[in-house]
Order: sequence, then C-alpha cells, then structure tokens
Amino acid sequence: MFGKLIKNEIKSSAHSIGFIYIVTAILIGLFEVAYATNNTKIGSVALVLLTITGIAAIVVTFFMIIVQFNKSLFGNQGYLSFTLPVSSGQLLASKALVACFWMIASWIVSILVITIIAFKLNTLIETSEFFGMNIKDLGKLFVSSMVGDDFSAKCLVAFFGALAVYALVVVIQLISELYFAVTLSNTRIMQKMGVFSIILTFFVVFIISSLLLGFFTAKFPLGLQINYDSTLAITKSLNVVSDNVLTIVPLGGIFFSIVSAALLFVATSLLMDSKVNIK
Amino acid sequence: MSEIITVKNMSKSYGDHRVLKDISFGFESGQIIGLLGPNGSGKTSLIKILVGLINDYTGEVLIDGKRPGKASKAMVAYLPEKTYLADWMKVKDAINYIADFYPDFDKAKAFKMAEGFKLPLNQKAKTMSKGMQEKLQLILVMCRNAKLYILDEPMGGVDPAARQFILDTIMKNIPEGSTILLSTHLIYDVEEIFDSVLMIGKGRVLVKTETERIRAAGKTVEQLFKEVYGSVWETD
Repeated sequence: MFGKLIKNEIKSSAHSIGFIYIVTAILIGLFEVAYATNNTKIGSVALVLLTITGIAAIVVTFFMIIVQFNKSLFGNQGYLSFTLPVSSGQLLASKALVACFWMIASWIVSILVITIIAFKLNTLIETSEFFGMNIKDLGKLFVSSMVGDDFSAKCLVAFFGALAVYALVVVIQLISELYFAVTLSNTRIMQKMGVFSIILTFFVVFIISSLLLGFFTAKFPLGLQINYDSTLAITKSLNVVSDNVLTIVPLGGIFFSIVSAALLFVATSLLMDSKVNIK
Repeated sequence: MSEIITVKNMSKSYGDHRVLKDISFGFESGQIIGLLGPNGSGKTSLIKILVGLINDYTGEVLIDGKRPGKASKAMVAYLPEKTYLADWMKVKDAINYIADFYPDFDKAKAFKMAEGFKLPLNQKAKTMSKGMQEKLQLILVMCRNAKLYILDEPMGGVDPAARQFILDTIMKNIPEGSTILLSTHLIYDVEEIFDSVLMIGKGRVLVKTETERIRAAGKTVEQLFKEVYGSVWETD
C-alpha cells in the first residue's frame, strides 16, 4: 500500500508542481537556441525569465507543498485520503517523502539554472576574468571556492557527502515543521483563524526549533572534522583551529534536527488521528 | 448473524456542544438501513465516526467486530456528501486510483459503467458538472464488493429523475449479503427499500426498528418520521 501511496502522491503533486520544471526546461532550450544563433534580444528575455524561474522553482515548490498537503488531507479530498485502508503514519510518510524529493529537485534546478547562466554569460562577456573557461574549468573553480585548492578526491567526497546529508536533514526538518503547522491549523480551535493560523503556527514552530537548534549545537558542540589530508576525526569543538581542517560538520545540530523532525512527524500523525477536522 | 455495526455508549462533542449523547445500537449484516434525521441531528458525525474520519469520541464503535481503522476501511465503501475528487483527476485516473487501494474494486465494471453513464474517460473532474462528479463517485463506490456501504445523502440536491437513477444504480449493484447504511431526509423516495431505520435527533437514538413493524402498525416510514420529529421539536 505504501508504494501505491507514493505512486499516487507523485502523480498528484506532478500536476501542481511539475509545470515549473516544464517552464524551466522550455526556457533553457530557448536560451540555448538564442545563444547558438546569437539572437541577443530573445537571449536577454530568456535570460531574465530563466533567472526568475530559477528562483521561482524553490518558492513555488515550497508553497505548492503546503497547498498540496492542506488540500489533499484537510479539504474535500480528505474524505478520500482518510478513508483509504492505510494508517495516517503511512499517509504522512508518503507525502513527506515526495515533498522531500520535490524540494531537493527545486534546489538542483536552481543550481543548474545558475550554472547555465554563469557558463553562458562567461563566454559572452569578454572582460570576465573567467572568459574562455570551459565547463570543466568552471567546475574546478566552483570546487576550489568551496574547499580550496589543496584537496584530495577522498576529502572532496567527504565534504560533498556531508553537505548532501546536511541538506537532506534541513529539508526533512523543514517539511516536518510545515506539515505540523498545517495539521495543527486544521484542528477545530485553530481552524477559525483560516490560512493565517498556518503562517503563524509555522513561524512559531520555526523560531522555537531554530532557537533550540542553536542552543543544542552550542551545548553539545560535537562535530565531524574533515581534514585536507583526507582524514576524518570527531571533535568536541566547532571552531576551526588548524590549517589542515577543511570543515567541521555539526553532528550535535544534525542529531537535534533528526530528533526534532521525528517528534514533529509523530505529533502530526497523532493530530491527524485524533484532532483534525475535515471541512 | 453477526453484527456489522455495533455502537455502545458512544458520545461525541465539538467543544461544549455534544452532538451524539451516549448512543447505543447495533445492526446485523445483509440489510438496507435508513439513517434518518433532520439537519443537525448528528447523522453526518455518526457516519464520519463509522468510516474513521472522526476518532475523538467516547464509547465503543465496531465495524464487523473491528474498531474503525485500517482493517475496517478496507471493508467499507463510503460515499460522502461532498465531492472528493482532485481537480487533476480524469475519470480513468479516479477509477485507477480506487483500484490501486481496494482489492475488492471491479475495475472493468467501473469502466463499463462510466461508458454507460456517458462519462468521458479523459475528462478532468474540475471540468465536470456536479451531476457528472456525483455519478463518477457513485461508480467508485458501487463497483466495490464491500461488506458495508455507507452512503451519506446520495440523493441530496438532485432532481427526482436523478434520484431514481441513483437509487436504481445502488440497488442493481449491491452484492448479496452486503449491508447499506443510507442517510437521507428524502424519506418518501427511498422508504420502500429500507429493511430497518435508525432515527436520530438531538444526538440521541429516537427510533430503531424494522420497517416491517412500522408497516404492520399501519404507518409509513415518513409518517413515523413526522410523528417522531414533530414531537421532538414541540418539546424543545
């Protein structure tokens, strides 16, 4: 059943979120054609629209995740969703997984758009210090700006691996906060406040959890130290004290984020089971 | 025969307002039950509890011996008052969706019925008239081979010709041995099909009886309904 929930959730969300990716793909194509044919007029328009779409992908995805969750569970569609022979935990998990996928996809699309624009502009602007660089050189430049020049492949994998894990945890925590806020706003008491209650609840949850994250990270400054010499070490301080240290991953903060997301998902599931009111 | 619906000392409140007050009743399977009561009598709240949409009640509710949940949802086919289809869903999407989750759903029959009802398979729910959406939802419910069908006001807000059509569809497609709980305030149109009735008002069970007994007393269900609810409003 869980697989079927995921399949139908992807299908359903693609109808509301998918259009931004289709628009982005069309604009990239248009930008490429304008670039290849030296059509500066169309190229300029496509460039502006592509920049807007690159940002919009993140914003639209964020808002559509909220709308989709609210509509499919607490609007009329809730009569269908909540009478399916599945648990509310399964419903929630399927929606969270798919939302996670879309949120990461929106980041990837934005990074892709920025990269394409940077690469094309670089070859167009002769005064640019990057003029004449190919995509491989630009990639190297990007990596060296993140981790410096003196790095090994192993160190690079560790850095980007840690970055990916950190980003994933941030996305999961954000989704847990959003879902909790939407669900709490659909309890009988909060429902009277309308959409305002979703915004209010989200900001309250977000601020509290950010404060707790800061407190937890400061109180338990446990970190994973990634060194230039490709070694990893557990450290009890988040301050970089040696030239050999590439970065320190805040393990305490990540642990707190995972625990807080888990607790919020459990709370959301309990609210869905007992307190929500389908309009 | 075992009870398909068992309700014992069940109460439900919205804040300070108690909509269902310590009600108890039970029904054996294989019959058509009319759930009757005026607006605001607690019919929809009772139905939402039976189908597992409302869980914060006190007392005991059992569907074929199970508390409303995953297992009971698999054996209940529910037709709500509202249109629950997502805007993006086409007729074929809605049929495939239900087929995905309910093994007792007859997909081939659903496609055949959609064709018979002149519902274009590629038409989106958002572009359908209310009547078309209701037809589609009726197909989705009646193509299941469920133990219990719970239909909330299936004929509310439609003209008399459509009412007959809906009633015929329900009667033609009900599997033998299944139970229907049909909530309505249009008693005259449907009373012939009821085996039993449950009248609720002011959050209490006012009458629970077999229609045979009502008829044996020389009354129609509608007459009894008027007697019961007339006195309820008078005493209030």
